[in-house]
Amino acid sequence: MKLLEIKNLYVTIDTLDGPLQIIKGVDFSIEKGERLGIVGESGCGKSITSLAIMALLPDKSKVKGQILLNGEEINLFNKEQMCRIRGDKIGMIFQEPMTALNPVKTIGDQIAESLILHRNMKKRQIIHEVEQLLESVDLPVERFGLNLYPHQLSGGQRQRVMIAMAIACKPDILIADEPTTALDVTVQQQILELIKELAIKFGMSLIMISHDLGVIAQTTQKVMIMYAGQVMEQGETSQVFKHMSHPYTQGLFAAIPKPGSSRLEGKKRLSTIPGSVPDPKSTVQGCIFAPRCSFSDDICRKSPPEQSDIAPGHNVRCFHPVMED
Amino acid sequence: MYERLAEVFSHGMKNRNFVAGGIITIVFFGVALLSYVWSPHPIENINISDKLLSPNTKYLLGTDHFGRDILSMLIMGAKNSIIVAFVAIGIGLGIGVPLGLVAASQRGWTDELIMRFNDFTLAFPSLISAIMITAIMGPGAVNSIIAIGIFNIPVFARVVRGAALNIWKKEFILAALSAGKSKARISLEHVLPNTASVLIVQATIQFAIGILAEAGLSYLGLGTQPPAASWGKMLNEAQTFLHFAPQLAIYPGLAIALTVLGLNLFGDGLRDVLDPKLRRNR
Amino acid sequence: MSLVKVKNIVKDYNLPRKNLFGKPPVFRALDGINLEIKEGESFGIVGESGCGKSTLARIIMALEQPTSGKVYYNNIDLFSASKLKLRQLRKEFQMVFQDPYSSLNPRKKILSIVGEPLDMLEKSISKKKYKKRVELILEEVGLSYRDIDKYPHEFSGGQRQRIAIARALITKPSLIVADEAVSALDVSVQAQVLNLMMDLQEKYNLAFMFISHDLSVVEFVTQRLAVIYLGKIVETGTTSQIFKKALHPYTQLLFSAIPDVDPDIKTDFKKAETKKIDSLFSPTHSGCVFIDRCPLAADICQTKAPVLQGDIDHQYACHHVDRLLQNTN
Repeated sequence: MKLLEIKNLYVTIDTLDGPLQIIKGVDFSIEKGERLGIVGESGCGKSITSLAIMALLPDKSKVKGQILLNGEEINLFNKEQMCRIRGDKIGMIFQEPMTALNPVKTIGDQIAESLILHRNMKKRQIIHEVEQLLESVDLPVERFGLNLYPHQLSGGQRQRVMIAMAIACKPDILIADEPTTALDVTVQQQILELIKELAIKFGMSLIMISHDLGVIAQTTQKVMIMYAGQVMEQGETSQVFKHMSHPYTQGLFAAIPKPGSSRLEGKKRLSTIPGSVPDPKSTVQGCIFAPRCSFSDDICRKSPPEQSDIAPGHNVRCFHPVMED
Repeated sequence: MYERLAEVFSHGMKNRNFVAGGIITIVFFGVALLSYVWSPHPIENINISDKLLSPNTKYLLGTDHFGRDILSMLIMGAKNSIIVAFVAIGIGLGIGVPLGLVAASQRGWTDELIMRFNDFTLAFPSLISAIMITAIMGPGAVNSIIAIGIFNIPVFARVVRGAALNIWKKEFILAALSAGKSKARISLEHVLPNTASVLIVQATIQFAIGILAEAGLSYLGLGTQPPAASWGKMLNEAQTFLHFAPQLAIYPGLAIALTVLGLNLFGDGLRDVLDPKLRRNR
Repeated sequence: MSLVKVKNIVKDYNLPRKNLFGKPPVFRALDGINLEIKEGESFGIVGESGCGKSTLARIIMALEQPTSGKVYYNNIDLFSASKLKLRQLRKEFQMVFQDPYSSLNPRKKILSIVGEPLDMLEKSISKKKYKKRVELILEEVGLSYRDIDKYPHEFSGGQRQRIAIARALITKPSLIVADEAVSALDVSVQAQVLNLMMDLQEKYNLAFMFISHDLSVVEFVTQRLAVIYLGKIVETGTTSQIFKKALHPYTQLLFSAIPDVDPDIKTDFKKAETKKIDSLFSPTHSGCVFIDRCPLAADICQTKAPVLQGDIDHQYACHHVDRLLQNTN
């Protein structure tokens, strides 16, 4: 049995301008201990997917489809049941370490919070556990006491505290939503290493959400590339990154300046994906990427493509996947 | 501008506070305007033979101890309350907003000076100080306007400064500075329009407070002077007859309560409607 | 021919005083910055948050006074120029900001946003000409002349950044300071905006000061660059030289920290602990700024601040040049 299975997920959010379908049929699954990356540009639905798993979507949103955790349909759970899942079974790390921590509570209290909530432990046990957690995120207790406040820490240290909070109950799944976007590069690398190490050490599954292809390449085993609420390409990270087949994935890669490339030598311009992300209000009959795709033809505009395998463990939602060699 | 109004209106219709408060406020203003052209009975008419009547077909809400029509006095009182509260807000806006803008754009000791002066003014309980001012300068509508207006100044200055400080952090301010514009010009061109929504909301709150203050002053005999009518004065006169004619106090009391409630609801609703961030989250 | 010359810029900020009397503590944001940008050149400034790169941009834009030092623009001293002269000079340099949402006033129409620099800098222009100029520049950045009556919220992030570029270009400047101008944008949009900026640069012979933390973007766009750490230039030179052979330990650290997009190449990252570095910001600090994170730190680094050395194409501020050179050869 899969640890987490998402089947045909649709999310619609009601706004004042009418309902917007943000997620349009997403399927994926994670095995125990597996690390999955979700890549995409802003508005593609990658964060909404994770919020749907946590049942943290805004009140006025409708979720269709199934979210199975250990075979249980958690999308049917009530608020109380969901509270028992959050923090205990699924932990989450957010993007902004500045705002995700409560500035008037000590880091010790904040890390202890989910332990108090989910574990029936004595005070001394909890303190011991929190100290262990701080050690495991490389914040040695001798220097970083439990009674420090968030403002006394640097951005990277705060993100470590966030990680300690998320893994306090040794959840089955750790969701990291752009955990390093707000951090400097040198700090980013340390945090990524730490998240990966902890996931392996505690046997946690990891869902890494990022717009940065490098981050995904370095931390995950499987990857899915999302565009406008749909999965465009999905598979083993090394397979997908080496033999990317969806025109969107290719465009995304081509748009990043490559190390060693300078416009002074040879290449004058960066390649781009023409046009812009479709308005979520609009409905597209065929492939959602067709208007921006250089390979699109009449078939693409008429009916939407399904996800189909092009290699073992590698599927693409495209009528004309790009095959190299 | 027209599109913006239409947009605010269409969003507003979905906000219950905005609609309910808006209706009460419109009725209140309508009644005040009505008083200029018509009231059921002239309120200067003293008609002792008709004194303290219960509601009847001639006097819809009955009469007071001088035989004056209560409905007419409520209508005339609405006008006086509005004028006092309105002008008092004008004073607050006219002086407080520039002070707040200057404080936010200059920072440093100018800011310090203005804000400490503000704190100093705010440290006095406003109604009691207004009583003191009218007691010294003499009772009357004009003096009560000034007394209430003075205490609007620091409120507006503080609100504008707070909002303006946030705007000064925005990058479009840097862009304006690199376009060679002076701080004063940027304050008027960029900062003020962006504080407008907070100002409008604060104004509705101050309006309600102004009406309460005017009622309070008139109740003490320091505000509107006879023969002009005012809700506060009606309350004052009603207290002698509270035992056998409680309706004399109930009507103006209800009018004050309803108007203040309406204005507060309207202000709350308006804040939600005008704030694009709040709008998006709902 | 050099367009901008930055000479020995120092910028101190007073921190809130700890007690009522006595001097407030001083935070040194920039410590002796020297650089030169030539006509039509793109110059990169690389560094992490808090290193002072945005302060430097604001000083070059004459939005802030340095504590000491000079900025020459076409050999005119910015900070001793008269108000009138400064206003004339402002036509020559404009800025594009990081956040396309905060950099456009939400209550103004595109016409007055893009035309804003004309208000003061070309006062005599007629209303009709003003509008024409805005329309032309909008077309230039890939928008439509019909957009002048729209409000910023009607545009996407990438389009907003185009509007910001249009505003910067309208006075026909010779230098544009782009402070993290593409880092808030999505990858595919970022490429579009970068292409636009480079096209415009060629067309108008613009000089760019390109501030970014994204090394691959800097490598692609710039000809020369300076790496700043805690208010000091630690390495500077031609982009190709530095990317080929980074000499300063901090630059090496930065390079090693970029996650590689090839999953098979494991990022070989040197762990470097960030320590509390408040004291390093003090003007009285005498050693090397990078000492707390440096794997090569020795006694001399405590007492003596290294100065920039090397040839004009590649300079570095480190006491351990020999060892560095050996390591890389």
